[in-house]
Amino acid sequence: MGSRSSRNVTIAVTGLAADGNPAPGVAVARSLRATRDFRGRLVGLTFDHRFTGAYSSYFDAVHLTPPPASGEGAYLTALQRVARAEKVDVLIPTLDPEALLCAAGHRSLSRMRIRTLLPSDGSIRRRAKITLPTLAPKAGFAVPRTLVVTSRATLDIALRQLAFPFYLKGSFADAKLIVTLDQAYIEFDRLSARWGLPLLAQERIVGDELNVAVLYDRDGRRVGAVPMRKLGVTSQGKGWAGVTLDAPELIALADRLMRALEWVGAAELEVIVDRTSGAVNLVEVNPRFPAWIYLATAADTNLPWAAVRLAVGERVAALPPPPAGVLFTRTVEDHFGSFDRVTALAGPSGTKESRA
Amino acid sequence: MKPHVTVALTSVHGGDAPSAGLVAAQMLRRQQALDVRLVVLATDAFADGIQGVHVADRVVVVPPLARDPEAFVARIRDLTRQERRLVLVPGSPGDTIALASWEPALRGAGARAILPRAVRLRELPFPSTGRGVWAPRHLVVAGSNRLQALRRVWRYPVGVRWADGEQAWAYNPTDLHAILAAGPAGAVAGVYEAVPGIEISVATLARDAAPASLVIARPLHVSENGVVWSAVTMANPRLVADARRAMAALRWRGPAEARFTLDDGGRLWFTGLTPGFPSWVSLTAAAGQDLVLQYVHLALGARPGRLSTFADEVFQARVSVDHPTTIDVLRQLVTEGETSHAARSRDHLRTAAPDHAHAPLHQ
Repeated sequence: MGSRSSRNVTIAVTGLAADGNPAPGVAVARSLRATRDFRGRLVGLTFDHRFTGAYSSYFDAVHLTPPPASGEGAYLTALQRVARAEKVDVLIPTLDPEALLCAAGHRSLSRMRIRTLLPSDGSIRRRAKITLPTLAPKAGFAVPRTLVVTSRATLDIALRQLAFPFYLKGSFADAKLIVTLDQAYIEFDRLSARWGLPLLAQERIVGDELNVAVLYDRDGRRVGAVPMRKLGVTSQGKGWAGVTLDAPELIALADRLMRALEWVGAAELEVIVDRTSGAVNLVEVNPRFPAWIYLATAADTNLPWAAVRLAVGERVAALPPPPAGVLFTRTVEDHFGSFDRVTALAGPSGTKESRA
Repeated sequence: MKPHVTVALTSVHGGDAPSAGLVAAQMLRRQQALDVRLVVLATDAFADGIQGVHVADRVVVVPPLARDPEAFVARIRDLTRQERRLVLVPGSPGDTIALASWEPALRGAGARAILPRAVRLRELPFPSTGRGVWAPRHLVVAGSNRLQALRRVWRYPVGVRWADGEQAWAYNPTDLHAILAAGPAGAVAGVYEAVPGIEISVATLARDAAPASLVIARPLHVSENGVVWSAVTMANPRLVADARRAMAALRWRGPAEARFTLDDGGRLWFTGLTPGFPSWVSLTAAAGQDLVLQYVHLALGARPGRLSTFADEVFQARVSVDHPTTIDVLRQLVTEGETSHAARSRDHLRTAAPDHAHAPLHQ
């Protein structure tokens, strides 16, 4: 497929939650709309009609899909329905479980003529929080002390071994800073009910929170990397402000890790640089673009657009490092329409056209 | 030529709890009726100053009103010397309460504002309504008396509404104890019996006692921290008439959000009032009643017109987006206490969404 084709492709993007803890879908769509080279269509995929990103004007159409928890079969069947209706060329999953489903179902997606830029499902599994403590040191990262919690009994062991405060994390998402014994048990019940077991109990490292968004081509060559320092976090620990950094050492560490993982496509590495020792602690590797990816686009490093071009088979030269000192703050846009838009998406067809 | 006015807004911030101040600034940026110069009054360069940069012509770091009111008023006096016809818009319930207490001084400093009468602030969050307004059984508890509510509650669940608008539900005495104990020191809470039905929110504006404007919405998607991310207007005539009657009975001056429960029989139950615009105030403009613009007009001395209608079933979806700026702007705010866009084009101040995203539906 040539460059003309990439201009006119139809791209499906997932992850349309857009409240105070947004998924990356809207930021990915904004990045694609921001490039003058893109003249195609954007199709939003959401498993919840209440997610407000579904009603933003960035998408030409929105379809309801089953939640990833419904399994690969149901998810891919729904994708097939959308692919037929919308003639989807490229799919960008922006939620961790969806990335895994799409990586595992890449042959089915290929038969549907949907192109992706994803690592293998094996690579995605190897970067899971539970396996990271083994993998990360091999790439030169430090790792916060992490204990696997599979039951109340193992939570008790963690409580004896870790000092307060520490983090209790779901294996897919969600984390709570635990400051008391009572809270530990309450959060254990809540997190295990929501995300299943095991959970992770992780030492809290005090230091600079840095994230890096990266993109690798099918040969494992880095196409772009944007490091960012969080300047402000919400009560849930999500960044609402951040600034681009000049951090070649961090990018080099990311390259070593992602090479070990045989990574293809987008990822976000979350690290904390220990204020005392200077050690770079790897906390998470997310198999997708981060919610703050529009900062990369604003810093002239449009990683989502590069991913689309790579997905359709174009060669993309390595993007220059972004300038340091580009800052973002999280604000809101309000989008208005008839309530019919909600009933259309929540109704039997599960489809909404927004830019007809 | 459009009339010129400078509008100064407080509490302009986004993150996971976007303020009415931020949304009001965006509305004033989009409106076409007035030539508005927007000044964001920030209490801290980083905490809120940097968040005002993308909507404001000028961001000024000012002393916090709650901690240093005299210095705040003095700064407003300085501003009114530089910025003629300055209208002050409170961007949060807390700011509305704080500004109302200092209204005479602010007026003396040359700022124009429409604020609640200070003597009525102590009635919050359940101002006296007079006859004809249904309210569930409730009690207002303050400071050290708060936990006495535990002995006086009739039946659970009960709603707890703080004077600044925060709300929580208690399903048993343990919940209620935890909610009341966790409240800010000295804050007043209203505890009310739950009424089965639909929760609705009424955005209202009054220059005097009677509302000059009013829009009713049903919050749809509310996040765990109580922030409304989507809502839809409700304009059936009986509901509107009942809400108008209730607001007239409240005789509350200034912008406010009144909360009601609409029960199965169609009766409105008043469940508390929060001073200031609600954060969903942009929906009022989309439905044909721009309450923020009307506030500016009224503050400038316009006479309130007859209450107008608003469009029914207008849906609002709020989307978190990141706005870029540079570290140099933050540096300027920190070192100089203000930053201005005067030398630049105004184009960059537009929000990133295409125009049609903001087009009012009634047009």
